[in-house]
This record gives sequence, structure tokens and C-alpha cells, in this order.
Amino acid sequence: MQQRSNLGQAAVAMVGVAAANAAVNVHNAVQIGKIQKQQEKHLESDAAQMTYIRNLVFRLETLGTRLAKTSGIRPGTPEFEDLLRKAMSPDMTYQGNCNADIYVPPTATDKPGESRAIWGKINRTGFLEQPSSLPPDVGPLWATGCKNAQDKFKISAITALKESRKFKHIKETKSDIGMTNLFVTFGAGLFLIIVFLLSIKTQSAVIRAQRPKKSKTKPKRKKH
Amino acid sequence: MREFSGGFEDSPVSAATIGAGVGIFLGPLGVLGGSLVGGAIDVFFGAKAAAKARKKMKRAFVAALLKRYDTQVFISSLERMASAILYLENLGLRPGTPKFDDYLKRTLYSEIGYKGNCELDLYGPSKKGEPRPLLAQIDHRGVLTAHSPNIDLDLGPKWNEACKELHKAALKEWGEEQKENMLIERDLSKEKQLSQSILTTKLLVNAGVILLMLGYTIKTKRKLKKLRAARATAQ
Repeated sequence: MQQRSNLGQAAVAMVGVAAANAAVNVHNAVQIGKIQKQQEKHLESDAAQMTYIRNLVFRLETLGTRLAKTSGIRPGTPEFEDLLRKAMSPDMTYQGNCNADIYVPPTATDKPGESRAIWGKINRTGFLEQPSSLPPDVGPLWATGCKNAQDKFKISAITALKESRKFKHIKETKSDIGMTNLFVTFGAGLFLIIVFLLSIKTQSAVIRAQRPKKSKTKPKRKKH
Repeated sequence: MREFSGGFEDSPVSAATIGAGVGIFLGPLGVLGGSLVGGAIDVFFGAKAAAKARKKMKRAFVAALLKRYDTQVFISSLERMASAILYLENLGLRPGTPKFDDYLKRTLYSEIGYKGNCELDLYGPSKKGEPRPLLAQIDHRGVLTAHSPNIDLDLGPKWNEACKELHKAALKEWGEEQKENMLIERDLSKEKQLSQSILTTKLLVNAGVILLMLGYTIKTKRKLKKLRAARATAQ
């Protein structure tokens, strides 16, 4: 009888403990779910922010390359950095040498001409000043992208210079060939004309010499 | 609950069972009381272990983010190196030579800590005026010495391989550019030779015609001289 009572008590206790454990498990699962969602959101937001910075770098690269090709100003000079600052002013305060204060992305509710808040201040080494809502990964992304873009500006300027030198060299060589041809043709032609004229002159003299000599006395008039 | 357990919960027998066992000897309601107390201990430790696991999960996430950051710094270094190699190559330096590597070192040491010969001191970003934190050192064999707990040790061999590949690719590109320049020069030289040969032919033809005409003129002059002499004797 006592054994049966003990078994009953143990069963009741086990059910209670199992229920409590199940509750703890459910609570834990809910918490883990919440954490996972938060982490997913965090990663998604990071990815979006990094994509935005990559796009900014691409914009800088495109604008800078175009300026390097068309402005006639040498990349790397303060004048060129000033041009970049103006070109990038809608999206950031570019302070030169890859130091930038990046504005928050534009939204549909933004009014034209309204200044945008600064999203992150990044220096040349890729350090993102805190506090910032941007992930620190955007620092190296921006700094490397910007320095690589600056190399590209210089490369495009060097390429343009090389191309123009190559073109000049080809043009000069072809022009030299043309000029030599012209001088030789002209010289030979002139010499040929001179010899031809000389020949005609000599020939005329021969013809004149072969003609019977006319008497110098005038023919007498017949008397009527 | 055992999967979250630690310490007391590591025991193969749960606290509820132990409590029930002890309760047998305590008289009426002893089993129930013992089981409940033991069960409560089980639940408490289980909940504690679960909270600990959640914390661990959060810490792992933060560590993964830090690892991602360090990897990003590493990738950035590689990208900088690729760009700098291209720039130096465009300046006319021949990749693969000690001079080229020396210039690369001068360009990149302050930026990414490149020491030449594919050796690298990987620095993280820092505030202006502050020293940059050293994340890792990679030697010319690709052996990585980590100075940050979040750095991936696989990055050493990866760096070594990528560095060598970049140098090889640069040398190949440089060779192609030289080849292109040589082809242009060859074309120009061919054009020059062709033009010279045309000129020579033209000159020879003209010289022949001129010589013929000169010969004829000399002959005519002699004839003229003879005619004049004959006329003079006739008079």
C-alpha cells in the first residue's frame, strides 16, 4: 500500500517537473527565436549599409575617372580633390585624402535642398568614428574603395598621356615618311623638268642650226 | 533539460529522482516533496543553463561579427595591393623585379603594412594620431601569427597565394603591354621600310630617265657643235 502511494506521488511529481521543464524549454525556444530574428535583422541591415557604401565608392570612382579624363587637372592635386568634393557634395562632405562625413541615405520624404544628417565619419585608415549606427566594416570598405579609386584616377590620367604620346609618335613617324616622300618627289621632278628644258633648248638649237641660212640681203623689187 | 546542463545537471541521474529516492525514507508525502524539490532544482539549473547558452549564442554572434570585420580588413589589404600593383605597372615599372617590390613596399607599408616579398603586418583602422592595432603578421611562406583573437588562421596561406598570383598577373599584363608596343613599333618600322623602298624605286626610275635625257642632250650638243663647226668652215 505504501509502495503504491509512493509510486503515485512520484508520478505526480514527475508530471509536475516535466511540465515545468517543458515551460522552461518553450520559454528558451521563444528567446532563442527572438535572438535569431534580431541577429538576422542586424545582418540584413549591415548588408544594406555596406551595399550603400559600395555604391558610394562606385559613384566616386565613376565621377573621378570622368573628371580625370575631361578636366585636364592632374589627379592627386588639391584642385582635383576640390573637384571631387563638389562632385560628391550631395552624398557626403568629402574632406580630401579619403576622409569623409557620409550623409544618411536619401528618403522619399526628403525635401530638396534640405541638409541630411551625418551617418558616419570615416577617416583614411578606415576608422569609423563612434557613435555611429553604421557597422565598422564600412570603414575599410570606404577607405580601400576610395584609395583604389584614386589610383584609378591616376591610372586613367597616365593612360590618356601614354595614348596621346603613342598617337603623337605614330603621327610624327607617318608625317616624316610623308615629308621625305614629298621632298624626294619634288626634287626629282624639278631635276627632271630642268633636264627636259635643257634638252628641248639643245634640240631647238640643233633644228635652228640645220635650217639653211637665209641671205641677209633684201630681195629686189621688180620694176614695172 | 540535460542538453543545457552544467555542474549538478551533468549527473546522469536527475535531481528529481534523487529527491524521490531520499523522500522514500521521510514518510508520508516524502516522495512527492523530495521529487518536487529535486524537480525544482532540475528546472532551476535547466533554466540557468538555457540562459547561459543564450548568452553564449550572443557572444558567438559578436565574435562572428568581429571575425567578419577582421576578414574585411584583410580583403581590403589585398584589394589595395592589387590596385597599387596596377598603378606602379602603369608608371612603367616591371613587375617581378626587386625594384618593383621595393616601390610596392614604399607605397603600401604605411597603408596596409606590406613589407615586401609577400610579407605583411596586417593593421586595423585607428583614430587620427593613434597607433593602428596590429591584427596579424604573415611571413613570406604564408605562416600567420595572430595578434587578434578573431583573425582567421586560414588567411595566411590565402594571402601568400593571392600575393603571388597578383604579382604573376601583373607581370603577364606588363608583358602584354610591351608586346602591344612592340607590335606598333614593328608596324611603323615596316611602313618606314616600305616607304623607303618605294622612294628608292622612284629615285632610280627618275635617275634613269634623267640620265637618258642628259645623254640625249649631250649627244645633241655634240651634234650642234659639229654643225656649227661645219657651217664655220663653209663660210
